[in-house]
Amino acid sequence: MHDFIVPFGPQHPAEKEPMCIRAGLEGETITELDLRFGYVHRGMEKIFEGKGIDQGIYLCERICGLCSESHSMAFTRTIEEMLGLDVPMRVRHLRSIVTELSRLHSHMIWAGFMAHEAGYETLFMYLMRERERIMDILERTTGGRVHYGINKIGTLRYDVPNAKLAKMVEDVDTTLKNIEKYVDTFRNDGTLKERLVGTGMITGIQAKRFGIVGPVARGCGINNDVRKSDPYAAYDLADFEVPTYKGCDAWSRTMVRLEELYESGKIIRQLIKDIPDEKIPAFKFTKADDGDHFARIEAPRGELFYYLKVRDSKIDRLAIRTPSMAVLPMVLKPALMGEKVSDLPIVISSLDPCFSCMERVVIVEKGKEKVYTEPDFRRKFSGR
Amino acid sequence: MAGKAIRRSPWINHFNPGGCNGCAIEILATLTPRYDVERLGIVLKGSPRHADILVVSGYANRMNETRLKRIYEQMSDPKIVVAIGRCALGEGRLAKSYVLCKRVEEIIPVDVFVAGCPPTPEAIIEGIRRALEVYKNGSKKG
Repeated sequence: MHDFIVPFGPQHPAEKEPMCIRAGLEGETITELDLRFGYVHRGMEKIFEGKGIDQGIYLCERICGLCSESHSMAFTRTIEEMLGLDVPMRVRHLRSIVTELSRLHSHMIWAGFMAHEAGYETLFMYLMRERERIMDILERTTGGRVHYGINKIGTLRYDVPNAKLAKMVEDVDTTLKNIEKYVDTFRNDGTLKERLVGTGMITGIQAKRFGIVGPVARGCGINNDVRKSDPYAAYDLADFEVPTYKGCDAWSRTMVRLEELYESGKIIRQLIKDIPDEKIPAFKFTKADDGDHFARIEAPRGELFYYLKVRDSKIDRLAIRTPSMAVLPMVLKPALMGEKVSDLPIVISSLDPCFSCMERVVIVEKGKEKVYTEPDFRRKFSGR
Repeated sequence: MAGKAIRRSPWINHFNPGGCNGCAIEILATLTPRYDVERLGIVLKGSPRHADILVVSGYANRMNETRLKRIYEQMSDPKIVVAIGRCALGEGRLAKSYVLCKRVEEIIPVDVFVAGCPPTPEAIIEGIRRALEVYKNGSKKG
């Protein structure tokens, strides 16, 4: 039962991307939820079909503006593992460094949003000011502020000189030192704690059952990180920890992401220190054999899964499972039920949704549970 | 009188009808301390009814076509539309998708286009400045 319905979105000041939630309220408590998605659906997977493989890197960055580097990283990992290419160590180091930088800027924009939703407008502005330094590094090293386009199959578009890397360490250190104050505000401030602790609860059992990934799972005590469990690029050479919290609430998720900032800084420092001096190879990809492969990487929001099928050196099918897709549709309802309507923006923001990543078409057959095993998956999508 | 106020302090409203988020975070960057458009009197407003300039980033897909039209209709006159990004221009690979049936220009009249994938914050500020010039000259062509 509900007294009245509050529409939230698709155009809403608290949301930067269009999504629509209709919350049925009883008093102030949310008792019913109607989730409507599809406002940023662009048919990305269909656009990929028939494109050349080197065009795919350009395109897959355009899936999402926030984790564009992760997408191109996942794509290159998939195709390189499929072709069995041997990627030089310097390329691997540089790729990891750029990915970690993009994680830094993504988490900082998120932390700013979290502060903004909780009513801390000044904290939001401070965090965004510090974020600009990271954006400067990215612009200096890759040439782009949002879409970097640095990855090529088996190599990079261009090398980054060592002098730039030294300056990079300096800037990352300054940024991480400057944001310490703001992280302390998140950790110790009474008002923020009052709003975040116990809000948007997802129990550990639910988290396991829904198979959620990334910082949301780590906030539920599940130690799940692809960088550790299935290392790619140069992550096996870096020494870092995966922060986990057992609070299962918005505050735990906040803390996980804020500590990840420092872990990313650690990785960048180590990898720049150990980077080998070698010449990166020129791009000389001509054609690929038919076949299919899947790979996963750790995007800022969790595990990013790519399935790629190649025919006649063209992309025949690309299936993407983005972390927001794995987290949001399942978790939003249990997290929001029984919460006050004023906590709705905080809970959504603590899940860190990225709708442009998320809008895929998924077929759900009513009343029938369908589990795809690996052979099923291959048969369905590669026609074998 | 109202015209003068708008020229001095335009209020903008942002709607993303199906972009990749890249333009959205660059628009956000223009509002934050480094570029700080608030010093020029430009303020982001949540409601289209308060806004003078509608900033649209990205393509409009079928789901958002009517919504974009409605947001434009809700704005009070005089209204200016700035379309941000290469998708809004109707170029690029995404143009051939099955859901993106219309360009922003085909749904609502656009005054200024800002090209780039995504454009830099400086370009976005310049776009808004040109939009005000369009308004001052009284013509609707940018």
